[in-house]
Amino acid sequence: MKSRPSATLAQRINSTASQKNIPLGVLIELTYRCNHRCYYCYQKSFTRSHDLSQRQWSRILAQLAQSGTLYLTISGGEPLLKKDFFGIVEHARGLKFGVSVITNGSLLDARAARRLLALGIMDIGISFHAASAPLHDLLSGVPGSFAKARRALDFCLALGVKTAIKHTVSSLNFGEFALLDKLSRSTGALFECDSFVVPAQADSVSSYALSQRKIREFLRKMRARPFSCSSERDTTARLHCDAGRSLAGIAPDGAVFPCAQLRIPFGNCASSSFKDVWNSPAAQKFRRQETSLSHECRVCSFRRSCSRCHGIALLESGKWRGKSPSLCLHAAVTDEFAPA
Amino acid sequence: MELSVHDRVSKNEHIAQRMFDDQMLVITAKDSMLHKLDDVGTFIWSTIEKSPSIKEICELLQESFEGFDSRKDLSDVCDFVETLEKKKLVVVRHCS
Repeated sequence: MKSRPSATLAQRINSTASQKNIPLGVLIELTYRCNHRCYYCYQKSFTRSHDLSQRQWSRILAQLAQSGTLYLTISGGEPLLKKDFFGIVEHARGLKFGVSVITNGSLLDARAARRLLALGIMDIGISFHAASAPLHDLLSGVPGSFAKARRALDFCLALGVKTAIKHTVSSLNFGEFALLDKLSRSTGALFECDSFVVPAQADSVSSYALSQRKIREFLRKMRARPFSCSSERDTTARLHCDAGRSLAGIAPDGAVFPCAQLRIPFGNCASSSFKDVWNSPAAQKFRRQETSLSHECRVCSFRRSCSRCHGIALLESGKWRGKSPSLCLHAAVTDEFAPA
Repeated sequence: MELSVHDRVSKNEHIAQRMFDDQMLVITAKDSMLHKLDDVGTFIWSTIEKSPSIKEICELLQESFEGFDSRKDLSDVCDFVETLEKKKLVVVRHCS
């Protein structure tokens, strides 16, 4: 048996999956319904009119297992609002997926946490806008939401479930990342922090995106973490993404995308088999196009520091292969911290 | 405890697994550790589906792999099962 440090083996497995278009990691959005109204949310609809049934999801999950999917992330909206949530998780575990759940924590009481533990899920991510109630509740739009998220975090950690504090840094909650980082260290939770704010409107930058000065301050404060910068040799690889190759996203109605944030439709796996959608002309066209990004990106002097995301580029500029204001600003500032 | 040929092996319920590129990937849910089994390991893993004894695993190996000798290679199988147990991928029920 070969057993190596997870990151190295995972990287090799992911590389093979990407070369062979095996959808190793899939994020499914069970519903767009949500009991929060977060300030930055990019969902345009909070209704359940097109949500697939548990039976439909069971069929899709079986097809994903056959296609080689190992990592299954269950998200929303708020996934625990879906009546069939536990039935779908149970079915997924029966098919031996490694299941992660992303939630706002509001419905994750002790009983729910124990059920998820018994089902053997891998990890839970709980969204925090801030490290204290007044700001978190203001930004989630729901009084009492911080207390519930905090309680959910404690339930999960007490049970020994691997749990992450998930946080998006924006102009409205700037500085909270340091406090949440501290909270994660004191509780034993993981900390997953993103400094990109997905725009809620097409062809625009989020009004909550960080300024150049704040990106710099964020990077400076988070520099205790290893700096992520490519060598000159693999800067081109850095501009590419595994979305649509080893990664996929499926919407509540069964629509398949390269990634939950990159809404280029491959087809719908509620009406066709996942395999047919994954190998559809639309999917093949996307993969062909993904190999040739725009000239300006390929020659950009900041490309070694670029955290390229086609989804954000598409939302901000309408062109997923080109530049986008947030990505370029982040790359330029990140490059200031790169080794000479 | 040393393994005996009568001990029965079953998978830990809290693992994730998938055949990938003809080899088995297994993850332990508790720590998200990823393991890759080689060809023989993948074969043994597939036999564990029915909670066999170590003796039964050896018999299945002998049927499928030329040159495998149940008596001579028993210790290798025991070592492998012990490794799986240490990594919490399987549970061993000791039977006399």
